[in-house]
Amino acid sequence: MITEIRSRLGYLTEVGLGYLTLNRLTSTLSGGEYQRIKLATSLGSALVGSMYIMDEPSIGLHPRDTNQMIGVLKTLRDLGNTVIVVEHEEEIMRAADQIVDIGPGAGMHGGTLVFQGSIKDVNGKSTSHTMDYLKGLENIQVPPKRRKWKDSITIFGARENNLKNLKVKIPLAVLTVVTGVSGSGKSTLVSKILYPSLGRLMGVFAETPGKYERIDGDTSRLTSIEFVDQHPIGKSSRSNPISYVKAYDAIRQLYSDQSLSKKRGYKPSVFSFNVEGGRCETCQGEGETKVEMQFMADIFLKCESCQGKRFKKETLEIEWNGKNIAEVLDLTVEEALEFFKDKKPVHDKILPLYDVGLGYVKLGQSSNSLSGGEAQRVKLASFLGKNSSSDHILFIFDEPTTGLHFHDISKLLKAINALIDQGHSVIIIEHNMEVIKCADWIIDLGPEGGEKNGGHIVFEGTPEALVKSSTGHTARFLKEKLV
Amino acid sequence: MPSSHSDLKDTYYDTLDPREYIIIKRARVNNLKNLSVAIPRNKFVVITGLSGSGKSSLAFDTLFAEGQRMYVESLSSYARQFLGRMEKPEVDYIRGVSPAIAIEQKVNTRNPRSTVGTSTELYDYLKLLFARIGKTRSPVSGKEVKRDTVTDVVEWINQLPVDSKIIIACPLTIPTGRKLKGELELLLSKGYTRVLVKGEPQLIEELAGTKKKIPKNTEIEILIDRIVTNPTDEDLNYRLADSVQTAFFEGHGDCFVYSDKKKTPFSDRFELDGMRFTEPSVNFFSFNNPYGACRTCEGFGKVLGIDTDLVIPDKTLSLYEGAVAPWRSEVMGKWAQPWLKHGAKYDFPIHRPIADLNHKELELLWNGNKDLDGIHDFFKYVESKSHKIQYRVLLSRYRGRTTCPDCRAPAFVKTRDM
Ligand SMILES: [Zn+2]
Ligand SMILES: [Zn+2]
Repeated sequence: MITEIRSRLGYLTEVGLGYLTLNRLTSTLSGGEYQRIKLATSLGSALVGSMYIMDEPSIGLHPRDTNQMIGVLKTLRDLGNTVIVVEHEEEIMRAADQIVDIGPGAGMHGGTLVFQGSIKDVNGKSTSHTMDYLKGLENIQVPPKRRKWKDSITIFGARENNLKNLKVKIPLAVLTVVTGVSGSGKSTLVSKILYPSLGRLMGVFAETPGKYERIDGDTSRLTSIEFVDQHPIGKSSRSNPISYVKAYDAIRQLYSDQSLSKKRGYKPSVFSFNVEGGRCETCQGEGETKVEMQFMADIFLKCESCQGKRFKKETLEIEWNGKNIAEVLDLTVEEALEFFKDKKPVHDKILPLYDVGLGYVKLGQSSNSLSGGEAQRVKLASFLGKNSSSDHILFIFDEPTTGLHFHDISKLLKAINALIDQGHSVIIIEHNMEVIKCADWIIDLGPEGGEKNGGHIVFEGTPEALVKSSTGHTARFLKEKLV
Repeated sequence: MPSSHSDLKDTYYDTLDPREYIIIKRARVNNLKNLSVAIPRNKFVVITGLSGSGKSSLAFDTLFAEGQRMYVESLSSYARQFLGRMEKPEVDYIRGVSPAIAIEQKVNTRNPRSTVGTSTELYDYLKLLFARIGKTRSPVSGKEVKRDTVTDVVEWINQLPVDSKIIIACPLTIPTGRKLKGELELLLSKGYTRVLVKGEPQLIEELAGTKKKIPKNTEIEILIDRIVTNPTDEDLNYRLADSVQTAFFEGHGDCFVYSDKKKTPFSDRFELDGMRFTEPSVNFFSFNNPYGACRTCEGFGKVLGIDTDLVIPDKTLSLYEGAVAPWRSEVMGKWAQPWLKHGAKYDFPIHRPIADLNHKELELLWNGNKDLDGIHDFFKYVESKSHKIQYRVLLSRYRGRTTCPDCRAPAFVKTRDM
């Protein structure tokens, strides 16, 4: 039994969770941490002959911890399992027995097998973005110049969790990346102190900040603060990208303006699945019904009355440009841009979704089917669409590259830089080196994770200065990116 | 295997062995365009692509969905009645899929008491471990609490010198309202012939028939068996075990062994120092279970109380500089005054930052002494005045979830000593 306990503790350490205490509440863990706990548990129960399918086990891992994670995945394989991992992390791809690359693009430009094999099998330029990146033939450009800054905010005496009474200066109007290994305190500093304390000043956030002494500096420069996290864009299956960017109103109006609608007296609300009227009442506009299973994930079944279309037959008789409302909600963003190209108000509202790399998402896709990274980009798109010059918003992004391929990261960075060019400030909590290398300013916490060895400031400054200082884990990994 | 697959003939996949490959032929799930792929089994395979490329459609909506469908197929008929409606992924075929385990990123927050320990099943093992090897100590004498099993008693008897004459007995308890005579007759009918009166054997018939008055509270025990010890005699050992078991039963948990007039008591109850204890069991160590959970916080480890960090928000300040937030106001400032005046008398450094105070000084500040009222005294006073709105507001300002004072975080009952 002692062996059993020892090996389980060993697995927890191997998946990079050595800093967690056993009495830590699961509900306070990040998605990545939770997944790694499940992984450690699977290792402990040592099932054989199974097929393990994992969604980005590298999420939340600093490159230093990734190598351990790779070891764990290999152990799982060596026990006699098939390990299938959906992943973009370079180290994990390099370590895999095989890479299966689906693409080449997204949505209608994807869906085919572009490459299968190991990285050694490729020579020269290929049709696979993935392989080209891995071979160094495609690159995320290091910005030619770092932005200079003069305004800043300073936090004094940050002591929440493992933070060691820190004084941190955060520059404004530039791209700041707060980084560090898992458990180093980077999220605590930004989400538990900076955001709530500034939020209080701006009157947008009520939760009590973590322990800190005071916050000072050019806070009056900011007009607002926005935390763009990976939480779903709405609680239910009823919120979707199109309503989040406020394009659904215009579409409903368009459908109620059709002559058949006018004859029948249909109001815009008929074309909503949130209220009674035009929606299918069997599933109340959900399009599906849920069957709760005791020992496994709930099963969702298509609604039999509307065949998953969410609307009544009569509602679907109203068409514009040859499509009914259900068919419109089934369009991808990219298809919708073409479909609505003559309806400028709708088109312009949808465009930012395309700019953040979500061209493949369906307009009516329910928010709970969007990944955390996709939800985050929908939120980003809603801000890009606003563009009012008098605002100076401080945007905070929590690991925005989660779920993103290199190619998507460069799109995301473009969108984020667009925000800064509009006069806003951006802080990113991140350990992805592609993002770190594009920062104007880096705040590196650590040196390790946990109560004892984390919570110190390892470095503050530009990427070049960090590499020069060669202190800490981040400097080591960043060096390879800046040559 | 060839490395470029887009030009492979579909019939190629028909020739592969599903024991070596997971074979998907012509998948049309979501945006997949008749995608065929053979994934080698027992390998570590990364599926990648831009977001929206279809990689999740392949991994989750096709492979995992099929694995889940297969899993359901192996289940009860209740579960299977939904299978007809559980759609098969849109593919020509999938071969070689094993039951799938998808490790998702969604945090299951349904149980607020779920912790890292419980999710990893580590607690299950720790509970088993403590239930098996954990020792219970009496808080009175500090001695280990043990129950005697039949085997314990038999082993104790067998360590006596061979050919020792021993008596196995147990107390005779007379339920209230019943007469000794009646009990003795009951014993006779059960087949017992002798009792011990003050340790001396006597025939039950004689005792029941005697004219002599037997004083109340006379110690009477049932003589269960008389034996001459011989550890190598297997039949005798069986008889011993039988008799000890009977003694525990008739004696409601007590059994006495007489050898050489010396009486040794045994008990199969889990008790010591006149107290009964709960035996360690797996349930006992679970704080998801009312058995082992602290009664004050019901196992949550946190209670609503005075949050020390709200009371002293900035620990770089000294008491003189106003470290104690509720004492900063003009009215409540009078609570700080005695400290500033007499603090020195008790070696309390009023100019030292709170962060630099030692344990004893902090203890004094919170608990006070006969001359100085501490912060706890202050809050006791405020609570006593909480019928007034301004005091309630004051109190609410310093309330928060704090470590349970009764169990101090470990969510087990505090009287237990591992
Ligand atoms: Zn329906
Ligand atoms: Zn408690």
